[in-house]
Amino acid sequence: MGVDPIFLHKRHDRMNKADIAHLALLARIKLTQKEEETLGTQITEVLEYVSQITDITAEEKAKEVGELFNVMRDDEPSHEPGEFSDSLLEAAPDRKDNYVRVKRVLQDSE
Amino acid sequence: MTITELRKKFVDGSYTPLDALTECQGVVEKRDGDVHAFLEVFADAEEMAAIATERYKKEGADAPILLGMPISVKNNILIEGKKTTAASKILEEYVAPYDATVIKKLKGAGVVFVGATNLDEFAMGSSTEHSAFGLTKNPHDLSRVPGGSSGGSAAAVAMGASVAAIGTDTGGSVRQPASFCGVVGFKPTYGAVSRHGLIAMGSSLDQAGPLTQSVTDAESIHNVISGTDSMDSTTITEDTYPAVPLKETYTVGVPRNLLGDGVDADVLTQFEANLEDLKKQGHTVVDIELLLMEQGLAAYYIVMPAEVSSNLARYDGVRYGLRMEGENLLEEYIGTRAAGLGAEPKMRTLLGAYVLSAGYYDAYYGKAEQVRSLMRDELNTAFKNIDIIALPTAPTPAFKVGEKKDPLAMYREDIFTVPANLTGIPALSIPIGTVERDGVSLPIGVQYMGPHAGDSRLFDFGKRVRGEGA
Repeated sequence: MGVDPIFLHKRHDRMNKADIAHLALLARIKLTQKEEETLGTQITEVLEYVSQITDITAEEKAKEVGELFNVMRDDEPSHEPGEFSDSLLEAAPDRKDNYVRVKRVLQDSE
Repeated sequence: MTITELRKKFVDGSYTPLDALTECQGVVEKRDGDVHAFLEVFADAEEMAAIATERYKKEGADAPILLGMPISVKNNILIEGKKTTAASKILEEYVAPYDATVIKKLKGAGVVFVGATNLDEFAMGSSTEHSAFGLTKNPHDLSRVPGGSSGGSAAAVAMGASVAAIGTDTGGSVRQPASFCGVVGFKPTYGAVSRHGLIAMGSSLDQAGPLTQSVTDAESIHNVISGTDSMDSTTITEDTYPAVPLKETYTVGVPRNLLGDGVDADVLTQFEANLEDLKKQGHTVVDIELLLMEQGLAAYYIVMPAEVSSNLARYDGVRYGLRMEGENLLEEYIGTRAAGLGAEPKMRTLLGAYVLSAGYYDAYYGKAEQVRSLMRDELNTAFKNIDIIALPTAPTPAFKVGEKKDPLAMYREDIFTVPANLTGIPALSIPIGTVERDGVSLPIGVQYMGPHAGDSRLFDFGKRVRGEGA
């Protein structure tokens, strides 16, 4: 099955390499040159397709994500302190006692 | 073999959970080298089957309905102590520290877990070709895909390697593989089943559901895994939606405007034949118009990547999963995600970051949520006059491995299934026949959708359509 005519919405600007590189940094993913090219093409195509929803006029309709209501629980501890600490810390790539060890966050200022 | 049939034999002792497990393992041995439905076959299954076998001797017909049933689980659902990879390299060595609520409930019911089934990485795909650990093939035709993303679960049930399986459905990931593999697949009302312990893809869309050989079996499993859960605040209660009554006969709406180009002619023929069957059974079939479903697919491919980009942010190499060493923290983040995530999750994460970014948020995400809310209104209006909506589950039978290289062509597969996820309504896919392709019979499914909390109505309707329990 080929690409349907509905996918041929040619309204969106092409994503250039700088756009993709910027997005990749925002998303915290290092991309290869080849990935920058293929993802750039794919994302542009998908954006062209999904842009058709800008045709919908629904100004009067409030934006909503599902049905919104509050869900409360009793304000008390749900488990013993440390009950799950070990099994959760077990999954950490680098652990020291009850800490997850990571590279330092703040760099020395020059 | 169905759960109903196994149950009878387990109770009268002519066949035991151990026998059933041995048979399933035999199928895995014989066929899974080709099909690759499983990422892991559990070594401790015998232990569980032995316990269930003993319990039937003592409890007989009083034993819980699912006791000893050999069931497989999609590998994005946490089972304590088992590797839960979501078919991604970033979670290749991840061992689940707790049970998902669904698993806790199945364990309580005495189910025997046969193994963990393959999926598209993080459940992103419609073919199970995007697993980091190799693709799954359709047991009906090894040159074709089983559908996805719960392709491993569907294939496992179709080839008899388990009596049922649990999948997850974000945009059709239970129903479409069920259709491709000739089994029953059910996507519950959003919130009917707890998402606690499911590896999240699109949190406002995800639901866990059964893949089975009969509608009765799907209902049995759904009744066990559903229910309000304090660990998932989006689970519903009996009061959330108005009760949906069962009826003597149902009025079935067919959105004809969606059955145009792009739907396979043989699929349409089978679908029309199914509608004739419904009429013969005394149901009323009427044409309806749903005008927003086309935009629905577009809205889905905004909402879903947006939620993906948020949900996948947690895979940063800090608390669990893969970590690639780097010069500094940022280098570790970007290196870990570069090495650990496959092409499709990368693409969707970037796309999600884009549609959520300042300046584009209102144009894309905001608009998509509006479409979603309009679709809900449109469906609610439709359900004032009809009881059930019928559509083919997928526009085509199972396609060839490698056939759909372009992401948009793959996304097109989801056209009939995403509306149920976007609006939160339940949907059931059942096999209705086969079509010939290259001399092979390929299964085709029909999908019935009901109003919110209409899960029981769909089971009632589905059982009658299939003549189960008659």
